Amino acid sequence: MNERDPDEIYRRAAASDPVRPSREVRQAILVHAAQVAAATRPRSFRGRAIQWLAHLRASSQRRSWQILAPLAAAAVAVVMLVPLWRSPRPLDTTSISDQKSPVIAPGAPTPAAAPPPLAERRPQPSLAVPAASMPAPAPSPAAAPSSPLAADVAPSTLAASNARAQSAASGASVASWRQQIQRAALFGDAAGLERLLKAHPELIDVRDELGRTPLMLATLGGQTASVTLLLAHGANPNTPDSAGRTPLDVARAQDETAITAELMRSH
Amino acid sequence: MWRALPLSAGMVEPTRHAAGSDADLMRRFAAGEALAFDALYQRYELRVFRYLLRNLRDRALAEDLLQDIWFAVAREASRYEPRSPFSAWLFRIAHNRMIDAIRAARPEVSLELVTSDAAACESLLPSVAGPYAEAVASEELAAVLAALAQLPEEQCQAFLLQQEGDLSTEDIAAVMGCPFETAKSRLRYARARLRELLRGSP
Repeated sequence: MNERDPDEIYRRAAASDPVRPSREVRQAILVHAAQVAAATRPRSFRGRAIQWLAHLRASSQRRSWQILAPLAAAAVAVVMLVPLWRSPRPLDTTSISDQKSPVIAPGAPTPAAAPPPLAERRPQPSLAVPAASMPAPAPSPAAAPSSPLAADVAPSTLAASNARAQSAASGASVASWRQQIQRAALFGDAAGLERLLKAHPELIDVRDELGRTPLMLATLGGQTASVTLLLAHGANPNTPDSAGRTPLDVARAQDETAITAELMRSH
Repeated sequence: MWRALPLSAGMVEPTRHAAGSDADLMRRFAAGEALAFDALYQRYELRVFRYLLRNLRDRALAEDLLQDIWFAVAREASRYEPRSPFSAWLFRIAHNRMIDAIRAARPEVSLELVTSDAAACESLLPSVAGPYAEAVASEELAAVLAALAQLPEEQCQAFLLQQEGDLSTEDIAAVMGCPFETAKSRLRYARARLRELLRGSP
């Protein structure tokens, strides 16, 4: 090596170093971060706006709050008026993500499970609160989540019949159900996932914004029980995400032997 | 090979793909976008891990600390203020946790000894000639690791903070809690010593 720069030698050596943290450590970190993000995420448009204003206010204290404060006040006024303006609209169509119809699995019993026409579902004005801002229904003691992961998907632990009733009462949207199914699949809440799928079998292959089905999310999360359950409910193992990867591709890449075997069996 | 998992990307209604500055990603994560954390983690995972592993030379401890550090990043994301680079903030957490772990491993050694007696520190750490070094395929890498192990602890830390954290001398001083000139001289001595140690290597 002689008189070469140690920086250069180190960089080259580091680039050739195959050392990596274990998969378990990575997964624990990312799952924890996902939980933290879910816990801090504002649940409604109003919540998001308030959070944004709080950020703006913090920035303004550091810089020129005198200029930004009137803007913040105007924004607060807008935030307060928007729900009034939006109130005549049906609750479960207010979410932007609702505009996109979920991808339904071929053969899924959509007509029976499809929600009634919008006009029939329109709530009374006094109930016109954005669905996402409603507090999550408290699970019964018998259905209380037994782990921190389950706490994130608390609504999914409700019995299917109660869930449907509360959905109607609280105005829970298709997007809300979709997210609950996705979370239950990702975090391995098999009991909650089963109840949700019984209540909404048409969402078995619903995709997220990256084209991932619940089966793909369960595979990403290494949740063998979720994968087995989803396959038993008829999830399509060949549905690729928007990057063209199927659950089997992901399972193989992650050395998930049990999940790979399950997926191979269902092919 | 493992690929980073955009775990909850689709559930957060991300409005754009997870790319951007570190500070932007932190802001988005603090607002609840898990995909932003995933991108940050991909950027810094190996750097932090190598920093820990090369200082501690104990894979299990390095992994424990790595998890602890990133848990702290997730918890403290809302308190991060982008007045200093994210890498400096991250490596400060990493450095502090690592020092705590070293102290916990040798409670009988005072802080003064920890920071001044490199030979004593060296004797309390696992030898570089362990499974990690043996598993290293590259001869050059093995030589670099052996040379790093012979550096005094503070010089090794300063050098690795610069290489893995891409930190400025000012940031290194802030992370290590020492004056600027001290950090500068640690870097200078580390380079000189490494140059000397690597001279006869392949």
